[in-house]
Amino acid sequence: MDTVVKDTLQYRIALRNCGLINPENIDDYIAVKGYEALAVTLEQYTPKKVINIVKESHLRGRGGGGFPTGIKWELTAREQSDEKYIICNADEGDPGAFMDRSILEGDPHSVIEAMIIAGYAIGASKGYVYIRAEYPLAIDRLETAIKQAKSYGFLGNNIFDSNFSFDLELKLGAGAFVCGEETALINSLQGLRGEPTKKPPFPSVSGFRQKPTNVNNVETFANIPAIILKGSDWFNAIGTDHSKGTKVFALAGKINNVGLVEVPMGTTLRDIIYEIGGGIVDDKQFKAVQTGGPSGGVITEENLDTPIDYESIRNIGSMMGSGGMIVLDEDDDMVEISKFFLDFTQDESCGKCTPCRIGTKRLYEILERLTNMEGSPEDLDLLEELAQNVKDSSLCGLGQSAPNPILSTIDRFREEYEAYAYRTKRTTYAIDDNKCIGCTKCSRVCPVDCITGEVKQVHVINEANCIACGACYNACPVDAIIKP
Amino acid sequence: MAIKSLDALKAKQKEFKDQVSLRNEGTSSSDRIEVLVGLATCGFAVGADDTFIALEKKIKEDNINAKVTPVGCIGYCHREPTVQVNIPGQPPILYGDITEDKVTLLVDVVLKEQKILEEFYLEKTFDKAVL
Amino acid sequence: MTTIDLDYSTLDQTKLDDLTAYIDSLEHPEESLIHVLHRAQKLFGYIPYNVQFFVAKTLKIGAARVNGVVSFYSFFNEQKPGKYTISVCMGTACYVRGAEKVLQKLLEKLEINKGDVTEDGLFSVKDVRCIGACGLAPVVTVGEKVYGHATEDMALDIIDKYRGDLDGN
Ligand SMILES: Cc1cc2nc3c(=O)[nH]c(=O)nc-3n(C[C@H](O)[C@H](O)[C@H](O)COP(=O)(O)O)c2cc1C
Ligand code: SF4
Ligand code: SF4
Ligand code: SF4
Ligand code: FES
Repeated sequence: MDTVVKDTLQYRIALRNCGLINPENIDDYIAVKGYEALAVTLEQYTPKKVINIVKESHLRGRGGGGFPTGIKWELTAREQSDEKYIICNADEGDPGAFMDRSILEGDPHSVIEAMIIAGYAIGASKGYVYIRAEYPLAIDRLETAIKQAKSYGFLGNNIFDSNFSFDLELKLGAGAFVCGEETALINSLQGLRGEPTKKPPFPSVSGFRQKPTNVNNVETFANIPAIILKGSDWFNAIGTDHSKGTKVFALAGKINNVGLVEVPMGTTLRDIIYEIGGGIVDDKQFKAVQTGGPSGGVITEENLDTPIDYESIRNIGSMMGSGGMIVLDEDDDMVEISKFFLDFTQDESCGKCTPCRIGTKRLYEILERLTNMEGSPEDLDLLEELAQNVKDSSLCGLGQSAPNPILSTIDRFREEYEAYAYRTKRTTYAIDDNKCIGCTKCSRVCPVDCITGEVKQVHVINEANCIACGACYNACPVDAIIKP
Repeated sequence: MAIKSLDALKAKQKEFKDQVSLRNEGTSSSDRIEVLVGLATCGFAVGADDTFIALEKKIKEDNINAKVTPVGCIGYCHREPTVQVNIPGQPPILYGDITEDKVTLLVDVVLKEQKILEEFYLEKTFDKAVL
Repeated sequence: MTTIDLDYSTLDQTKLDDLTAYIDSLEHPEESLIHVLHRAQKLFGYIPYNVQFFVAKTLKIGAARVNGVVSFYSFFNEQKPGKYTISVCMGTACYVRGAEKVLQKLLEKLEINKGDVTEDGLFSVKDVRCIGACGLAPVVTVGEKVYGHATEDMALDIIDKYRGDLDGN
């Protein structure tokens, strides 16, 4: 029998155990060398050595920012304090992304192990996982995993008979996107409204309970045990010059193989979408792929062959974000898409600063005016000007990046904005007289009987009555129906 | 009981040698089959929990030397529920769309006759870091 | 108009006792306000003013602080929801796969607005942000039950199903 693994584009580090071990049984994790990185760390390495390994691996934060993890650990380690904290950011706020959930549901111990290692490296004895309340299964499995780790002595006092002690607690979010931002997260962790605070001071200096605090994302942590055991050279051999290792993406939208993928940095979007993702649903035309969620932008056909890493993806007008990847096809209206994101950000703005609170609302209103066909060409200038303004003067990353979906789509799809602004956008279906063969199929399915025509004659849609249901489009055997 | 040293941890690891090699390469010193069922949010949403229960029941009824293990999401959300069948001596094979009603077929064809169920066969398209 | 009712003596005493015991068990009760509120919502189904007031009293913090937190986080309901809350995911993946239509169908059929409760108190409909099952977009949930690949027809079936459950079917 042939082996089942073909030449693959995917290489899984963070997801190495997902779907292959029982997440509710710590022995399954131990069986695949779980907690060995922790044992090696505590028996053989100094905290400094651990930090060096992580630094030399060039691992960068997978939560979106891409900040070098080793340097972050070093910054927190060098602070003098009686208490320090390790926080795992499991808020996964990008709506349409599920990387972190899958790791927590499939391999919770890898995150726990990494947090203990990080605690040792920076000198913290207490860790918190801040997890969104919308993930009940992940919460359950983490709770089980923490209990089991305690019973094996991996959490608690004198872990592996060393002098090091560490404890871990779960803290729930309550449905606020901004709480993914680390200073807001810390406020929320203290039982307050999740409003961001000005940086500096950075959490590494003054964070949870005003003590030095290190915040890392779930996927960042999931890489750590592998790096400790396999070494930084191994990790450096994967990826591009400035972005090492792999990235997990959640592929969704109009793509056939919706799911989780983990690829080396430097993989092209074309490989991700067509080779791994199996292409666009119903063989429709690819239009764009949206990355970076509400803070990101769209990437179009001409950039599909760019090897993706933190820098290159910025150069082509989007951002890595946490790994959400929404594939859009010919049917998607880019103005509607940016309206969708602005609706999200104006709703999630915490309201602390005016540019973001008011600005995102205004941006949303302009988009709404446009899509209601009540806009004007001046609205486009207004949109761009205001977008820039909000970007430049907002306090935190939410406001600073909220206009990105608009700026990116207006750059690539200006004609779609113009069609609304000049009110030339058709909103009803039409029939191409050159293609229609007069089969009558469309007129039979139209729910409002607005298609007329004799058999074998060209049919016509009465646009005044068309409700744009699309039934005729699906019925026509010769693709003679033109979409709005 | 607590594990207090790297050596003790490695001793514990050894106990599961067969389990790991069966899942990774399909080799084991025992002839017990293992079926992994993806039970994560996406799987639950399409009835993977029913698949799990039905598998356990059918295996028991038919007296097959096999155990069913819940695992997390392997990433093929478009083909949930997914099931990986590990038969000693054969490479592990992944199947997609194994809803409760496909369980009898899966057990009869894959576990008993030890044939591949082409229709639901899912090509595994990744390599992973082995620590 | 809603009148502000701060009288918690009308609340179920066993539930209040449960909440008090939970608060007493906490190491840092004040810091754990969000957890306390999660607990309260689980017990009462929502967090009306009198529950907020009770929480404030028991934690010895200001009621305004409690209300500030309750109103900040969208997970907490201040209004009593329906017996069944139908949640439609409006995350990006679900949105591009047509979640809006499913949501509209539900609202239309139940003749309510988003966030409101049907007259019989049976249903409320809300939109939620990604529940992490984007692979099955669009996704609708009722309680813990997740419905993947939701369509307008499925939305109607879901309503019928829960109506049916109530009739003892
Ligand atoms: C509005 C906003 C939302 C964010 N949401 C998340 C999130 O959901 N998960 C996450 O890990 N990081 C999120 N971040 C980034 C965090 O602030 C922080 O940079 C990250 O947790 C650091 O971890 P890393 O270095 O391991 O990536 C968000 C940032 C902003 C500005
Ligand atoms: S930018 Fe927006 S989310 Fe951030 S602090 Fe200002 S108002 Fe709050
Ligand atoms: S889109 Fe619908 S309403 Fe319009 S012509 Fe076609 S079938 Fe009729
Ligand atoms: S279905 Fe197409 S070919 Fe047939 S009558 Fe309508 S437009 Fe013409
Ligand atoms: S966007 Fe709906 S479940 Fe993720």
